[in-house]
Amino acid sequence: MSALTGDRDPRRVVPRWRDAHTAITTGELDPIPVRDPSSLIESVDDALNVHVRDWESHESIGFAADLVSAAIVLDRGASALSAARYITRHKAEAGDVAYMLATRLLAPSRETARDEVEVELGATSLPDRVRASTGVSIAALRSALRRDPHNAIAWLDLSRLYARVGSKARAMRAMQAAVSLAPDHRFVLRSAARLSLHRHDPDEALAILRHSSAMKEDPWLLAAEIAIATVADRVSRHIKLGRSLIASGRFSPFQTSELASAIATVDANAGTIKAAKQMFRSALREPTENTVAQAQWFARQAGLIQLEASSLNVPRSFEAQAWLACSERRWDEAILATWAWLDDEPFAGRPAVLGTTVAAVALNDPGQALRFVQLGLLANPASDTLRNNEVFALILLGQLDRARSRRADIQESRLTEHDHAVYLANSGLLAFRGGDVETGRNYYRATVAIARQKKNQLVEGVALAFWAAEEFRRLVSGKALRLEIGTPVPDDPQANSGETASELASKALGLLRTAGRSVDRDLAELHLQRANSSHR
Amino acid sequence: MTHELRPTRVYADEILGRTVVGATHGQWRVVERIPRNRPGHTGGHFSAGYIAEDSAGVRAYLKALDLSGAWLGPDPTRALESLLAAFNFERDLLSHCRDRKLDRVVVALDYGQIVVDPVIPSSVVPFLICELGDGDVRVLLRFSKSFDAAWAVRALHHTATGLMQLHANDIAHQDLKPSNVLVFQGGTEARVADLGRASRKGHASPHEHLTVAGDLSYAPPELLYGALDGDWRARRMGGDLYLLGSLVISLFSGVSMTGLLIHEMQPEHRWDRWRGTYTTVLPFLRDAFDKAVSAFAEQVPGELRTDIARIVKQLCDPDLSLRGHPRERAKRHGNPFSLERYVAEFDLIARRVERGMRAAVTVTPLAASKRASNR
Repeated sequence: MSALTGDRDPRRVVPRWRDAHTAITTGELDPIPVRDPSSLIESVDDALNVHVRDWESHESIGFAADLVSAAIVLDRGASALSAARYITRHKAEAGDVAYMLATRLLAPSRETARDEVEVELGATSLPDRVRASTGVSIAALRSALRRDPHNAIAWLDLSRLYARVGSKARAMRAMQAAVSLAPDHRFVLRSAARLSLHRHDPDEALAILRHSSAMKEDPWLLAAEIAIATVADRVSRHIKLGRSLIASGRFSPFQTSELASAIATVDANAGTIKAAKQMFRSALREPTENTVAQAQWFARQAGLIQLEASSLNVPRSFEAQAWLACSERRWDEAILATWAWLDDEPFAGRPAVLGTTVAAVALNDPGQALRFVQLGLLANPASDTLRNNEVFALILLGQLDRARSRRADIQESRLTEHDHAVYLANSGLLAFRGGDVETGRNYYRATVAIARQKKNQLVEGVALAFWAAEEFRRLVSGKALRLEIGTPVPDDPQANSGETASELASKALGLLRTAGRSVDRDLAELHLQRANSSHR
Repeated sequence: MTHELRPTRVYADEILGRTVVGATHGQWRVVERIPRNRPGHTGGHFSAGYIAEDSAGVRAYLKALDLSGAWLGPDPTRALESLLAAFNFERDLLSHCRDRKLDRVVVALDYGQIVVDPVIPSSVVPFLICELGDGDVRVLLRFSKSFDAAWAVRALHHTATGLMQLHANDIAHQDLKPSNVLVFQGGTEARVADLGRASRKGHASPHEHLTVAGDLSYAPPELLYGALDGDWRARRMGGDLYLLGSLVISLFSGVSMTGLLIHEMQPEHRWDRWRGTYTTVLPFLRDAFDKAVSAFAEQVPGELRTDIARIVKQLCDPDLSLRGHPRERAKRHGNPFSLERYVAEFDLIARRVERGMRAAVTVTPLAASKRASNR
């Protein structure tokens, strides 16, 4: 059994944590309007004309650079094209800075995401490549911070890069610097809260948000506070305030989307379905992708709401797209969306867990599964879920010694019940693949027993399905051997348990059907079906 | 109600050009009209530039106020009032600067009015006569390998001195930019010109109500984003420091600090799109500021790079509370926007570069003769 996909894990509208360059494009950093620049904009053309006239009568570098610079400030690039061309024609005389601005005017589009540094490292492994490229970006940011330690955005981006490579303490120190420089800044506070959650410290996340005077005035901060309070198994004291902010009409539906979504989640969890539906309707008027993912989770799990297909067109809806594709068994699309999700939140464990399972089981591509898990472990080296996934991917790849070694690194005694069930099932799989059938069966029996004790039909069904698949697999290899040496094929023997592989499969399918529709059920059925058909 | 003047289609030089040349006032005679576009013509839409000459042949710049444009607007009396208030404010400032002997500021030599046609009462042309420079610094800008760093730093030293002299008299320039730095003596001297947009502490200024009194394309970011500090010194002198830092960039690269800043920013954060507070955009500005200064520093000659980049960072910091010399800011009762240290630093750097150039000039022939003797 692989780790489960996390399909049924509770989901909250906790803030995304993106690099500044990307976050800007989502609209999440759009300000609460307090000023109208139109009166200044009215004087733009008068201001520009002075520079244009000067340039027209003095064709020289000094005047050309002056106009190009003014045109960039005043957003009137078209008026300075001749000056820009003059500079590019006289590059040697113009110098690099004027040339840089002139080329910007002549070719306006540019992409400068800071943490997208690529390094050429030949055939090294994916984690090594990521570690190296992240290291280059970290060095650049540290250099920028040596020049100006007051740069809160650089501290934020540095923190995120540290989180990406699993240096949580360094990430936290960098984040503390950012918070001290901009203690009321939405982007800083939401990122800081997200990092605290990443460090499994929701209380700290709440303290960061509640310490800010901006929280009660900013729907984005309030949304984060309400969502994170639910992570800490509490109910925020600010839900009423949140409702009034939404109703006030002071903010656009987009600005309050996550707030409404967070309150809808609280309502749904409290069983006030009507209120939850109303809040989700408000949240989905101009949704963020986080709201879309949240609404889609509720649609998938509880059928609470109907999500329109157009909602998935919200930019960066990778998580929602991945889960939707999974639930519709479009596995190739699911894996692409999951890669995009992991790229969007490289420190997060969830996309790595989902990617591992889908790649290994649905796509039968354990190599790709291993890449997912390695990236996940890079950011979350202590995650038992991901360590289990790594063992699973290694077994499927046939790297049994490595799998044993990685399995031995897992401290069985400290595992959660869920992770322990997966650990035992992986141990069973490892034994089967190593030829120790009886030990394998015993591990699977132990897994089934734990699941049954917890009345978790899904886990029991998935464990049985994987066990059955191993029995089928064993029969196939036995059949091939007997065919080779010309002896008759025995009928589905299962020496010690008294149950045949077909009986195990049948039991698994029954449990999975009872457990209800989920991505994990689909994957287990697919795995079983594939093993069964190769047996026949 | 404040009446904002708008330019009309009729410009002063088109009307007055035919009539003012040849007019006399005391020792001065108007001898020539300066085309509107010529550097050194510092007039706005409502003035025209001329060359005046005194009896000893000393040439000066005559700025004539064109009141005719005001008559063509929708509210002539208000427009006249505003024009005259601005003119008188500048005249008084320039006279004050002359009386206080501010030698790095282009001051008024004389002022008065010429009656173009005695029959027409409205044909009175008020004027100011100021020192005439060789043009503004843009004419001399070159950024190739033959870039004259010594000249640039010396011009900055002179300009910083002029600005410091103004600040010492509680005058903030508010429109310091390359076109308002005039050069004299073939470029060896620089002076701050055009106090038309200045603010004087304790005196009503005709541009006091404007968010950005000076050139919008050079404006300090806090003004572009509408963050107007209530403290006169912070808003006006702090703004001047930024403009001086921007001038450093202009003399070394031709572009303004604001141009570089906007270049490094995401479009969403541009001053003309951002609708939030300055505090909320400041972290992004600061990030762009670091990139802007780094890009600029690359172009500064190696031996000057560290000092010039540091000075620009201190003068142009987008956060007013961090702008200025750290040692001045650290003083409990000091003036964080004091220019004294920068004047001294520019002088020191200029001397260093000049010394280096002299050494190069003297060493080169020796080296050449040594090479020759080795042959």
